[in-house]
Amino acid sequence: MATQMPMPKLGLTMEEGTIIAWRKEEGDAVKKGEILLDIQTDKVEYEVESPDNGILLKKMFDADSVVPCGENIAVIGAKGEKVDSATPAPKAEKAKEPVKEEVSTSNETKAAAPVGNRIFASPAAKRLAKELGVDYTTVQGTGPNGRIILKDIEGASKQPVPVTAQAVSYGTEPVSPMRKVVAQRMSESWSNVARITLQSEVDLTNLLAVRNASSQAWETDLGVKISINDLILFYTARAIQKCPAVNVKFLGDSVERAEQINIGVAVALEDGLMVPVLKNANQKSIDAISSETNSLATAARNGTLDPGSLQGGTFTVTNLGAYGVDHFSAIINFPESAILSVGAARERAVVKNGEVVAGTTAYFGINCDHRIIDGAPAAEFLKTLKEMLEHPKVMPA
Amino acid sequence: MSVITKKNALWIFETMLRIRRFEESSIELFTKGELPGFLHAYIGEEAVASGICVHLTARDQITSTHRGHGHMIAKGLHYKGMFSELYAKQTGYCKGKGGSMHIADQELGVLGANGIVGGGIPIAAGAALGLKLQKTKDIAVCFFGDGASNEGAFHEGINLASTWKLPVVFVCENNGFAESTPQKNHQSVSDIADRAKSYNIPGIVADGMDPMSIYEIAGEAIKRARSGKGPTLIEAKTMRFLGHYVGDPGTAYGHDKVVGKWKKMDPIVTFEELLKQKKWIADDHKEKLINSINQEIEEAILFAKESPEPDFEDALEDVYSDS
Amino acid sequence: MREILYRDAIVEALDEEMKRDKLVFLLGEDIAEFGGSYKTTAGLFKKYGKDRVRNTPISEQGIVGATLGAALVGMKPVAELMYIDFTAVAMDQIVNQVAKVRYMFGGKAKTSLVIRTQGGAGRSSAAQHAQSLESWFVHIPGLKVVMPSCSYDAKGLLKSAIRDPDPVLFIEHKLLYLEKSAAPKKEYLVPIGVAEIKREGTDITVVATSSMVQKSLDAAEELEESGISVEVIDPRTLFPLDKETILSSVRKTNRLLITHEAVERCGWGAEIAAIASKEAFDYLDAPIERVAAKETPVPFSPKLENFIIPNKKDVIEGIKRTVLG
Repeated sequence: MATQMPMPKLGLTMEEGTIIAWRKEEGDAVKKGEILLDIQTDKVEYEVESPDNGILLKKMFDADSVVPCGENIAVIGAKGEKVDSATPAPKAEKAKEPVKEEVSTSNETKAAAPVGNRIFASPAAKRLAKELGVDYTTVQGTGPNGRIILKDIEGASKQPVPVTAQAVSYGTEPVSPMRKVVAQRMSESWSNVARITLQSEVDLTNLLAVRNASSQAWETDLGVKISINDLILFYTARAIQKCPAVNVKFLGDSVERAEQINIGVAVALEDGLMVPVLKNANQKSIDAISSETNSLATAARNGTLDPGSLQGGTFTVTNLGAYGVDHFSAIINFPESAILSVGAARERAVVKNGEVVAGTTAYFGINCDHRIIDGAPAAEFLKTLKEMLEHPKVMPA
Repeated sequence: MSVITKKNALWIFETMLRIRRFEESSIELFTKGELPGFLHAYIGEEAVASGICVHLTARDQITSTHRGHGHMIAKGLHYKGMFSELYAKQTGYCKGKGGSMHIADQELGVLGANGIVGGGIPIAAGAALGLKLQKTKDIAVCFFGDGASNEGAFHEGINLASTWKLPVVFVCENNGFAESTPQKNHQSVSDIADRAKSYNIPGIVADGMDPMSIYEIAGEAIKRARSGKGPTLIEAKTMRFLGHYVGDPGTAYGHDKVVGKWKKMDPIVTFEELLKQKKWIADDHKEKLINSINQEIEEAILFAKESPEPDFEDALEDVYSDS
Repeated sequence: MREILYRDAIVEALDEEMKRDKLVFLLGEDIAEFGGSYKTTAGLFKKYGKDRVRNTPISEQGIVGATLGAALVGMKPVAELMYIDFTAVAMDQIVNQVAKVRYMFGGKAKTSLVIRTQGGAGRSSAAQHAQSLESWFVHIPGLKVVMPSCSYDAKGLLKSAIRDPDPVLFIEHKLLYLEKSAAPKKEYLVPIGVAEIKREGTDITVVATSSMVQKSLDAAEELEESGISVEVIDPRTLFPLDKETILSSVRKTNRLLITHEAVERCGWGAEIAAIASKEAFDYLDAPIERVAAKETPVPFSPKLENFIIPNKKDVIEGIKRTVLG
């Protein structure tokens, strides 16, 4: 009795296999378990064994044929046995074919090109576009029917919108989506907030000493290079914890007291500014702060920032010390109510025990929305932060 | 044969008058366009509701039909709540949300008039089951018409009650018409009571125009039920003096041709005679009663008219127990 | 935790509630000595006797009507309609009486009752014994509709249903009866009206009921290997529906697929789709999919029966269509 050999199903999701090469010819003797042919499916190659002893009477398909699982590809039997040259595919398989067709056609959205001027965009994409200030009508859609979907907006928000060819005159250029958002946010803050500015000179001598003493150990143990800015963020989070009055949102007739301390860290970009957020900053260790701040900043500069990282901020820190700026008044990141500005750390004359000595200080400024944060609580925060920085008690590690 | 006491007889008489006057008044209001929906008048059948409910307490349960005002009043529901319900006011028995066909009061043992013909039959059986399981001596009485005796629910409900020997009395008010179809055109039996045989329960024909006949036969059946002997089917031969609903002249299907002879058997008229013969009432008793009933009705209608309509929010309430 | 058969979970729930409250009693066809055609009342007749475990004649209207009548006088009946297909015989009592009595009576009515029934295909029971008709009842104000998918939910929900003051339609599935899963011995309840996230995921929300829950979980497991993360939610109660759990999930995943064994056309999944498309409109990144039975009566032939009811493969394909576009 001849043995039919079907295309084997070698995996749960395998539907068909491609015959790469037959190892035997028709008329050859084969042993059960001997490799009869090589097949490929889903980029994986398999060796297929003969199911029986006998003569390979017939090969139903040549190399390079794509055969559905279960369909016969060979017949093995006794020498001289008659084989039906017409191989009826097993009934089950035949039935499966039309089923598959029907299922897919009835559920396939017949792809028709957008009618007229209609641009297809998913509701979620439109919402995100609005939030990020992206003009979705200029985005290339990769969804069905050319539909613009979430990931298309996410991609577009990292790139400037292509400049349209009209109305470009010398010296002007269209404003990028990011600039639009920045401009809008700044003017919103400026027109709504009743700003007060408090400044304090903070002696960083001790902090620097701590950093210098521990930096080697930190690098070895924690694998990160801790910067002064990292330490500042670390202590700022804890100062906010003690002075939650600065961690609020003023909503007109109600005030939202944030339960988390999510510190936005301003990152300067080539053509603008982004404020990725360090979530739950007060619960993070110094090395977590360091590595996360680093990766957020890098992502921001590379345009690979996850939009989620830009959301949820409750307080912002901005540092222009690297540019040598001594002190400055930052614009509050509306609708937050406070922003901390950090100036350059310089060697300055300081008075210790009645004597003038050299010390390293930096000017820290807190800008607050006086509608909700009065001078005293703002000052309290600044004082608390100053104390923490000047006398670093909690050993961050 | 139960001997009727004067007290019960007078109660029956008064109740029939209360029903008659209520129906006449509500028809008047309806015809004036003051009441929404439909009305199905019980006029002519008063003896049945009265003759039966005189035996019942507030703990006995009844299910009723679309033609249920008579049963309601006989079971003790007051005019104020009934008129208010007909006027679809908040103060109605069902807060204006049930209407004529669904009036109910669980406190007085009224498990609702029912808009589905035969719908109350299995429910009455169930109520009787509950009462039996609670080991009370209370019973259920199920009112329905000749039309309902053809519904599957009739068969299922009575079969269940007879199989489980439930304390329920099934009362078929056979008024000869199922809506517009005369009895001979909707079933092959002429005595629906004969169907009781299929359930191995007593089936008794009563004169639905004679309160005494009802009183006696119902009394027996109710005693049977209370003593755990199971259900009875009473067929009360009666006649509604008006059409199926208020506004139906009954001319299309021959009702007008037969009603005349039944009107001569008006239970209020014949019972008044009987009571006078027994010297249990004076000649002006009826008139006096009617006057006081009319007074009550007038007050109730005024109450209903002055009652507020339900609020819009009420539409969304009572769908579930917490809404 | 010990594992018990779904049908035994039902027996346990009935047993515990009957023990706890003398007003609870059972009525239905073949539920007494026979223990129910699916053995969901096994042993209860012996324990509680013929007054509280009552075999009825074959009279669905009678059963439902009597259930209502008993509830109205203060009992807590649990009726069994052997097949959900037979609810058609009792529709007047279910729809026009049970569901409406409280409302029609202006709120003054005792209607604490449960109608237990079962549906579903897969046994070649053919067209009149294999339907999934829950959508009919979800549509009727006044009824609560519950569909447990596992032993834990079956036991906890049935206990809650029996204690609920409103009429509850408790819909079991014939293929689930012999599925074993975890259910504690100690007293517990599953609240009516609360959905459960059976599996967390981030790429798509799959809302599934009854027999489709396990199929969806299997599909999710398989798709994990392809890098698709599927969140599977079992509403457990169809009405009152826990909308918020579903909507929060859709807001997270941006995609929704609903799967049920009921026929797709006007199946209860359409209700979820409508709710989501309105209340989570701005969060949808793809059209809402339904994976449901094909619109035919259920065929007798096992091959055809399996073809028309949705299975794991259909769920997988539906998810892929939605996620990969």
